[in-house]
Amino acid sequence: MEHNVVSHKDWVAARTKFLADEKEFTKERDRMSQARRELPWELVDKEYAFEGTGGKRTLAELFDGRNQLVIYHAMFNPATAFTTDDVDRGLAVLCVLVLDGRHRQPGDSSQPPRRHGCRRGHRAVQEVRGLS
Amino acid sequence: MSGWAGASRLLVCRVDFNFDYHVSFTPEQMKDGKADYNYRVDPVFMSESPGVSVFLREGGKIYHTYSAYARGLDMLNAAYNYLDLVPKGSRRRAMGMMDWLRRRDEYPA
Repeated sequence: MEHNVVSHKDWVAARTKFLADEKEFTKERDRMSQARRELPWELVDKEYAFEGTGGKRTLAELFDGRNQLVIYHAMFNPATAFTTDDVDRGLAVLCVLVLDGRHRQPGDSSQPPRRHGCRRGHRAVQEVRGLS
Repeated sequence: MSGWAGASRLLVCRVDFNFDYHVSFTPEQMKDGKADYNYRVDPVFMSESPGVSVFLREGGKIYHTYSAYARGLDMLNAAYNYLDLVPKGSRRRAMGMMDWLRRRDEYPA
Protein backbone atom coordinates (compact mmCIF):
# COMPACT_ATOMS: atom_id res chain seq x y z
CA MET A 1 0.00 0.00 0.00
CA GLU A 2 1.28 3.46 -0.94
CA HIS A 3 1.89 5.76 2.03
CA ASN A 4 0.55 9.29 1.88
CA VAL A 5 3.26 11.72 0.62
CA VAL A 6 2.48 15.44 0.83
CA SER A 7 4.03 18.90 0.39
CA HIS A 8 6.08 20.43 3.20
CA LYS A 9 3.23 22.82 4.03
CA ASP A 10 0.76 19.95 4.41
CA TRP A 11 3.34 17.88 6.29
CA VAL A 12 3.81 20.65 8.88
CA ALA A 13 0.04 21.08 9.15
CA ALA A 14 -0.48 17.36 9.85
CA ARG A 15 2.42 17.25 12.30
CA THR A 16 1.17 20.32 14.18
CA LYS A 17 -2.32 18.85 14.44
CA PHE A 18 -0.84 15.64 15.91
CA LEU A 19 1.25 17.70 18.37
CA ALA A 20 -1.95 18.69 20.15
CA ASP A 21 -2.71 15.00 20.78
CA GLU A 22 0.84 14.41 21.98
CA LYS A 23 0.60 17.30 24.44
CA GLU A 24 -2.64 15.87 25.77
CA PHE A 25 -0.95 12.50 26.25
CA THR A 26 2.00 14.10 28.06
CA LYS A 27 -0.35 15.86 30.46
CA GLU A 28 -2.31 12.65 30.98
CA ARG A 29 0.92 10.81 31.78
CA ASP A 30 1.81 13.50 34.36
CA ARG A 31 -1.64 13.11 35.87
CA MET A 32 -1.22 9.33 36.08
CA SER A 33 2.23 9.64 37.66
CA GLN A 34 0.75 11.90 40.32
CA ALA A 35 -2.08 9.42 40.91
CA ARG A 36 0.53 6.64 41.21
CA ARG A 37 2.38 8.62 43.89
CA GLU A 38 -0.92 8.99 45.75
CA LEU A 39 -1.71 5.24 45.80
CA PRO A 40 -1.87 3.74 49.31
CA TRP A 41 1.09 1.75 50.69
CA GLU A 42 1.07 -1.70 52.32
CA LEU A 43 3.34 -2.68 55.19
CA VAL A 44 5.92 -5.38 54.42
CA ASP A 45 6.05 -7.39 57.64
CA LYS A 46 7.85 -10.43 56.29
CA GLU A 47 11.62 -11.00 56.39
CA TYR A 48 13.13 -11.73 52.98
CA ALA A 49 16.71 -12.90 52.42
CA PHE A 50 18.36 -12.32 49.04
CA GLU A 51 21.50 -13.94 47.68
CA GLY A 52 23.72 -12.12 45.21
CA THR A 53 27.06 -10.57 44.47
CA GLY A 54 27.13 -8.88 47.90
CA GLY A 55 26.37 -12.08 49.81
CA LYS A 56 23.15 -12.56 51.78
CA ARG A 57 21.09 -9.42 52.40
CA THR A 58 17.67 -8.58 53.80
CA LEU A 59 15.13 -6.43 51.95
CA ALA A 60 15.98 -3.55 54.31
CA GLU A 61 19.67 -3.89 53.43
CA LEU A 62 18.91 -3.62 49.71
CA PHE A 63 17.97 0.02 50.31
CA ASP A 64 21.69 0.78 50.83
CA GLY A 65 20.84 3.47 53.40
CA ARG A 66 18.44 5.22 51.02
CA ASN A 67 14.67 5.35 51.29
CA GLN A 68 13.34 4.23 47.90
CA LEU A 69 13.96 0.91 46.17
CA VAL A 70 12.92 -0.40 42.77
CA ILE A 71 13.23 -4.15 42.19
CA TYR A 72 12.98 -5.60 38.69
CA HIS A 73 11.75 -9.18 38.88
CA ALA A 74 13.85 -10.89 36.22
CA MET A 75 13.03 -14.38 35.00
CA PHE A 76 15.96 -16.28 36.44
CA ASN A 77 14.99 -19.92 36.65
CA PRO A 78 17.12 -21.59 33.94
CA ALA A 79 14.96 -24.71 34.03
CA THR A 80 11.70 -22.97 33.18
CA ALA A 81 11.98 -19.37 32.00
CA PHE A 82 12.79 -19.30 28.26
CA THR A 83 16.52 -20.08 28.19
CA THR A 84 19.36 -18.61 30.22
CA ASP A 85 20.46 -16.85 27.03
CA ASP A 86 17.14 -15.05 26.79
CA VAL A 87 17.30 -14.03 30.44
CA ASP A 88 20.82 -12.76 29.90
CA ARG A 89 19.75 -10.73 26.84
CA GLY A 90 16.78 -9.17 28.57
CA LEU A 91 18.87 -8.15 31.55
CA ALA A 92 21.64 -6.83 29.31
CA VAL A 93 19.32 -4.36 27.60
CA LEU A 94 17.65 -3.27 30.82
CA CYS A 95 21.01 -2.84 32.56
CA VAL A 96 22.22 -0.56 29.79
CA LEU A 97 19.12 1.57 30.26
CA VAL A 98 19.23 1.76 34.05
CA LEU A 99 21.16 4.69 35.46
CA ASP A 100 23.67 4.10 38.18
CA GLY A 101 21.90 4.56 41.51
CA ARG A 102 24.22 7.39 42.47
CA HIS A 103 22.86 9.57 39.66
CA ARG A 104 19.31 9.30 40.94
CA GLN A 105 19.55 11.75 43.78
CA PRO A 106 16.75 14.29 43.43
CA GLY A 107 18.00 17.38 41.62
CA ASP A 108 21.10 15.65 40.34
CA SER A 109 20.73 14.89 36.67
CA SER A 110 24.07 16.28 35.60
CA GLN A 111 25.90 13.03 34.92
CA PRO A 112 25.36 10.65 32.02
CA PRO A 113 24.35 6.99 32.46
CA ARG A 114 27.25 4.61 32.95
CA ARG A 115 27.78 1.51 30.90
CA HIS A 116 29.69 -0.38 33.55
CA GLY A 117 26.38 -1.14 35.22
CA CYS A 118 25.74 -3.56 32.38
CA ARG A 119 29.03 -5.39 32.68
CA ARG A 120 28.49 -5.70 36.40
CA GLY A 121 25.06 -7.13 35.60
CA HIS A 122 26.56 -9.77 33.33
CA ARG A 123 28.98 -10.86 36.03
CA ALA A 124 26.16 -11.09 38.53
CA VAL A 125 24.16 -13.26 36.13
CA GLN A 126 27.09 -15.64 35.87
CA GLU A 127 27.30 -15.85 39.65
CA VAL A 128 23.58 -16.37 39.96
CA ARG A 129 23.80 -19.28 37.52
CA GLY A 130 26.51 -20.77 39.69
CA LEU A 131 24.16 -20.67 42.64
CA SER A 132 21.40 -22.69 41.10
CA MET B 1 18.78 10.11 53.36
CA SER B 2 16.84 10.65 50.19
CA GLY B 3 17.34 9.05 46.78
CA TRP B 4 17.30 5.71 45.07
CA ALA B 5 19.06 2.55 46.13
CA GLY B 6 21.74 1.34 43.71
CA ALA B 7 20.16 -0.08 40.62
CA SER B 8 22.51 -2.57 39.04
CA ARG B 9 22.61 -5.41 41.55
CA LEU B 10 21.09 -8.75 40.68
CA LEU B 11 19.79 -10.89 43.48
CA VAL B 12 17.93 -14.11 44.01
CA CYS B 13 15.46 -14.77 46.77
CA ARG B 14 14.96 -18.51 46.76
CA VAL B 15 11.92 -18.72 48.96
CA ASP B 16 8.87 -16.49 48.95
CA PHE B 17 9.65 -13.10 47.50
CA ASN B 18 8.81 -13.73 43.84
CA PHE B 19 5.73 -15.77 44.78
CA ASP B 20 4.47 -13.06 47.14
CA TYR B 21 4.91 -10.44 44.42
CA HIS B 22 3.22 -12.63 41.80
CA VAL B 23 6.06 -13.20 39.35
CA SER B 24 6.70 -16.88 40.18
CA PHE B 25 4.09 -19.61 40.02
CA THR B 26 3.85 -22.99 41.71
CA PRO B 27 3.44 -26.23 39.72
CA GLU B 28 -0.11 -26.43 41.18
CA GLN B 29 -1.01 -22.95 39.93
CA MET B 30 0.32 -23.86 36.50
CA LYS B 31 -1.50 -27.21 36.43
CA ASP B 32 -4.80 -25.68 37.55
CA GLY B 33 -4.43 -22.77 35.12
CA LYS B 34 -4.94 -20.34 37.99
CA ALA B 35 -1.97 -18.01 38.41
CA ASP B 36 -2.32 -14.51 39.83
CA TYR B 37 -0.36 -12.28 37.43
CA ASN B 38 -0.98 -8.63 36.57
CA TYR B 39 -3.86 -8.48 39.08
CA ARG B 40 -5.95 -11.21 37.53
CA VAL B 41 -6.11 -14.99 37.64
CA ASP B 42 -5.32 -16.67 34.34
CA PRO B 43 -3.56 -19.74 32.99
CA VAL B 44 0.21 -19.20 32.62
CA PHE B 45 2.68 -21.08 30.44
CA MET B 46 5.89 -20.29 32.30
CA SER B 47 6.82 -20.60 35.95
CA GLU B 48 8.10 -17.02 36.04
CA SER B 49 7.02 -13.72 34.49
CA PRO B 50 8.56 -10.25 34.58
CA GLY B 51 7.53 -7.45 36.91
CA VAL B 52 8.75 -4.42 38.81
CA SER B 53 8.06 -3.60 42.46
CA VAL B 54 8.67 -0.41 44.41
CA PHE B 55 9.37 -0.16 48.13
CA LEU B 56 9.70 2.74 50.54
CA ARG B 57 11.47 2.82 53.89
CA GLU B 58 10.06 5.25 56.41
CA GLY B 59 10.15 5.36 60.20
CA GLY B 60 11.99 2.04 60.44
CA LYS B 61 9.29 0.28 58.42
CA ILE B 62 9.20 -0.96 54.82
CA TYR B 63 6.18 -0.36 52.61
CA HIS B 64 5.27 -1.85 49.23
CA THR B 65 4.01 1.08 47.15
CA TYR B 66 3.67 -0.24 43.58
CA SER B 67 4.04 -3.25 41.30
CA ALA B 68 3.59 -3.47 37.55
CA TYR B 69 3.68 -6.41 35.13
CA ALA B 70 3.43 -7.29 31.43
CA ARG B 71 2.87 -4.20 29.24
CA GLY B 72 3.06 -2.14 32.44
CA LEU B 73 6.84 -2.56 32.11
CA ASP B 74 7.03 -0.90 28.69
CA MET B 75 8.11 2.42 30.18
CA LEU B 76 11.26 0.81 31.60
CA ASN B 77 12.57 -0.11 28.15
CA ALA B 78 13.68 3.06 26.36
CA ALA B 79 14.24 1.04 23.17
CA TYR B 80 10.44 0.76 22.87
CA ASN B 81 10.17 4.55 22.86
CA TYR B 82 12.64 4.79 19.99
CA LEU B 83 10.78 2.05 18.08
CA ASP B 84 7.57 4.03 18.50
CA LEU B 85 9.16 6.99 16.69
CA VAL B 86 9.97 5.16 13.47
CA PRO B 87 7.41 4.23 10.78
CA LYS B 88 8.27 0.53 10.42
CA GLY B 89 9.88 -0.46 13.69
CA SER B 90 7.04 -1.17 16.00
CA ARG B 91 5.25 -4.32 14.91
CA ARG B 92 7.08 -6.73 17.21
CA ARG B 93 7.10 -4.16 19.97
CA ALA B 94 3.32 -4.05 19.79
CA MET B 95 3.30 -7.74 20.72
CA GLY B 96 5.12 -6.88 23.93
CA MET B 97 7.75 -9.56 23.42
CA MET B 98 11.51 -9.19 23.68
CA ASP B 99 12.47 -12.23 21.63
CA TRP B 100 13.88 -9.96 18.90
CA LEU B 101 16.68 -8.98 21.24
CA ARG B 102 20.28 -10.05 20.57
CA ARG B 103 23.56 -9.25 22.26
CA ARG B 104 25.34 -6.54 20.34
CA ASP B 105 27.89 -8.94 18.80
CA GLU B 106 25.18 -11.40 17.72
CA TYR B 107 23.59 -9.24 15.04
CA PRO B 108 24.63 -9.92 11.44
CA ALA B 109 27.48 -7.60 10.41
